[in-house]
Amino acid sequence: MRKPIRTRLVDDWLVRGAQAGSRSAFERLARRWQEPLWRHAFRLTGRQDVAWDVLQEAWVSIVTGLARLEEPGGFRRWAYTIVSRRATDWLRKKGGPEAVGEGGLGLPDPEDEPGEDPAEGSTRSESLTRALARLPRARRLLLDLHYVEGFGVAEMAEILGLPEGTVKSRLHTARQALRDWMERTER
Amino acid sequence: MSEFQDMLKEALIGDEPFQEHQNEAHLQEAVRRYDRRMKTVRFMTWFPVGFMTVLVVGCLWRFAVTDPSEVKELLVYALLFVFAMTAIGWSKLFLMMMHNHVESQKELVRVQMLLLALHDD
Repeated sequence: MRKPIRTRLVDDWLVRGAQAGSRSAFERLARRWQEPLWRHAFRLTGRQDVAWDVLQEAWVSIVTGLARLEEPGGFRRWAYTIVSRRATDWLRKKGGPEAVGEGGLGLPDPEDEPGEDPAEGSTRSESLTRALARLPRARRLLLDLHYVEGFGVAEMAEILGLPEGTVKSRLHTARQALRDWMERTER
Repeated sequence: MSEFQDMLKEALIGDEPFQEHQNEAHLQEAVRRYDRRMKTVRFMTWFPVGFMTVLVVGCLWRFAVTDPSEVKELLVYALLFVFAMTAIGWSKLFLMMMHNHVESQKELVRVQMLLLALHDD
């Protein structure tokens, strides 16, 4: 996870440079965020090729809006929000299975899963990995944004365009679903 | 952070298949878009200046051709205009210098914080 203060400071520096017309500042900024933004697009869309397209469209919006960005240190949140919007547009256009922040609640019972033998010996982390693979994409996204990217609830709400209370409760539900799954597999 | 949350973080990291070879091409495309945008911004900034200059010079030229006696008067007005603009320019420059002094102090603090953060890292 990136250190928040360092991230803000470096972003602030690079965005100011890019706003002033420095090509190298923009290139550094793009190199710095390309991979995390692609991962975000991929988590939202679930397809590699689409994630690249979404990211490309997001860069167009970023380039256009960069001069108007009033808080350069907040680039990360702003860029993630743009990627979320472009991905949502794509999901809506394609009539995708779930839009950002929607989707089913949780996990099936491990005993109902085909090929899933709860008695089969596995470590807790393996069990967690299996549970994550079965978690609906929108739920998994919340966990990624919170635990991997280090976003707070307020930031996630802004990125996903959802009320803070909704993000908080869905995050809690996703976490609880994983805990329940693990308890059931351990029984 | 609890043991469960640590484990969760570990399980979440790094299972997306990021393709490095596609990355470079897309990066260059983003930089190209930035370059194009900057060119447009520069054009939009300098076009009005160029247009006004051509207009003023064109008008003076036309007066000089049609009625040379008026040119002297016009040049006096133009000179007065230039003086006025220079005075405004100098006072603006002074204000900008004051503003820049404050901004450079802020910038200095930002650089110090950046260096501190990099050092901590």
